[in-house]
Amino acid sequence: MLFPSVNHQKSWLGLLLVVVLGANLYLHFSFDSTFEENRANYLDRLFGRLLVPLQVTIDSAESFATNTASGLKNLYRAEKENADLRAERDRLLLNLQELAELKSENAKLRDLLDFREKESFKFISAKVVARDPSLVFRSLEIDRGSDDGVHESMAVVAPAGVVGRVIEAFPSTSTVLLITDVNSRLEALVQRSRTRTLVGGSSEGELTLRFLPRRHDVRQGDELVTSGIGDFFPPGFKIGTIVGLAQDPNLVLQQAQLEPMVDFDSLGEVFVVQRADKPQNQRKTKS
Amino acid sequence: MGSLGLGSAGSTERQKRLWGMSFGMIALWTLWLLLISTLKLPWAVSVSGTSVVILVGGYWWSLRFGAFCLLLMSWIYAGVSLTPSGFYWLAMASIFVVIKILSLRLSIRGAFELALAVTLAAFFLELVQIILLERMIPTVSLLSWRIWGVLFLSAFLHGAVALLFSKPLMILLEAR
Repeated sequence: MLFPSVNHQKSWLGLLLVVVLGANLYLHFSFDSTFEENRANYLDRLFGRLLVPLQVTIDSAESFATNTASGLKNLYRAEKENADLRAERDRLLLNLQELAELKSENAKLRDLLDFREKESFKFISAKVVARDPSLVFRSLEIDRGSDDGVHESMAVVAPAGVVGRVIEAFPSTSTVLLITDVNSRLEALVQRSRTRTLVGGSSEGELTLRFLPRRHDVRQGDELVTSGIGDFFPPGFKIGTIVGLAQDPNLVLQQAQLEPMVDFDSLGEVFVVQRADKPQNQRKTKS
Repeated sequence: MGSLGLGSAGSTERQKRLWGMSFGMIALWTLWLLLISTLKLPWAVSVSGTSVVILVGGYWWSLRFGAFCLLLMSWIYAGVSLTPSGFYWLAMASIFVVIKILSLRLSIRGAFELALAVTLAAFFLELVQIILLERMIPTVSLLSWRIWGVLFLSAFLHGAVALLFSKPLMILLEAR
């Protein structure tokens, strides 16, 4: 019997159980499309919509308690930090003057070389609200959603490097698939040799280089950045450093392990990359 | 199946009480899940508490009622995780069935036996998930020390939490 009060309706409840379970399992094990499409199961999304606001509330309460407790301590620290920041600001202002000069020089050279305008990006700051409790999958919930201009497939970065990309956008929150997740793949470039490769996550939460031909010039300590190929990640954002290289002379491909630039365990603030309206993609004509 | 847990021919009152307690336990587990996900613990530290609910459910629920409770739990879990609900249900159900069968022969007496049972349930729950994932994603492999380390760590953490809350958990187990 299923429920105490429905002892005599065994057969149709059994049938209902088979239908619901069957549909639930079928939807998730028919892995013939992309992960995000599978994830778009209606019930999972519905429960996500119901539970994420609760996570935001718990996170706010936790932040409030933490901030109140550390308020006084921060006040003492603020004075010293203020002086340091003023010194840092003065140094950056000097750098800015130098950069302005370089920018104008760059524009002139681009004009001479007939280069395309580089695409510009806007960054939407977001706070990490919650983390995937699973051992296997790696994702984050952030407090920015479609109401803030965040949409699926947008890249998410931190000052240290690439974090992941948005795979679900609710009105006020979004789910970010981390680059270390087993379902994640991104095009990368070895900064030193400009070799193109594919970086993927693993079930252990590590970054690995995939489909890297043996003859390609890759060394331990090389840094990898996003290549900009594909629609997700803008070029030049740091991904990680090669910490392990396995070159088997009998294999066509070599394998490498990467140390991510971002420390995902202590990630509090991230930025969603929004492509600004493309200015002029046509090639300029020389006068 | 007539003699299994909630499905037994006990009084309607007792069954109603168990029905309420089951959903109360799932509500508490949901709250725990929300709390640990917002605490942003390092990834190696995963204490979802699912194994505790499955263990208690193994002693309380009939196979069919358990299947529905696990279905509800899988949808809740999929709401806060990328884990697909069908995938999680299958992993939970396989552990639940084993506990259900064992509960017919074995009973848990004392806090250490409870902690051991929770540790084993947590370990096999994660293991089944990785085995399922290995079948679906070719790059996933169990041949990794890191995976085994994380599996053991998660299982022992669950055991430690069960030991900490052994008194209320023993009361719950005996309430069937």
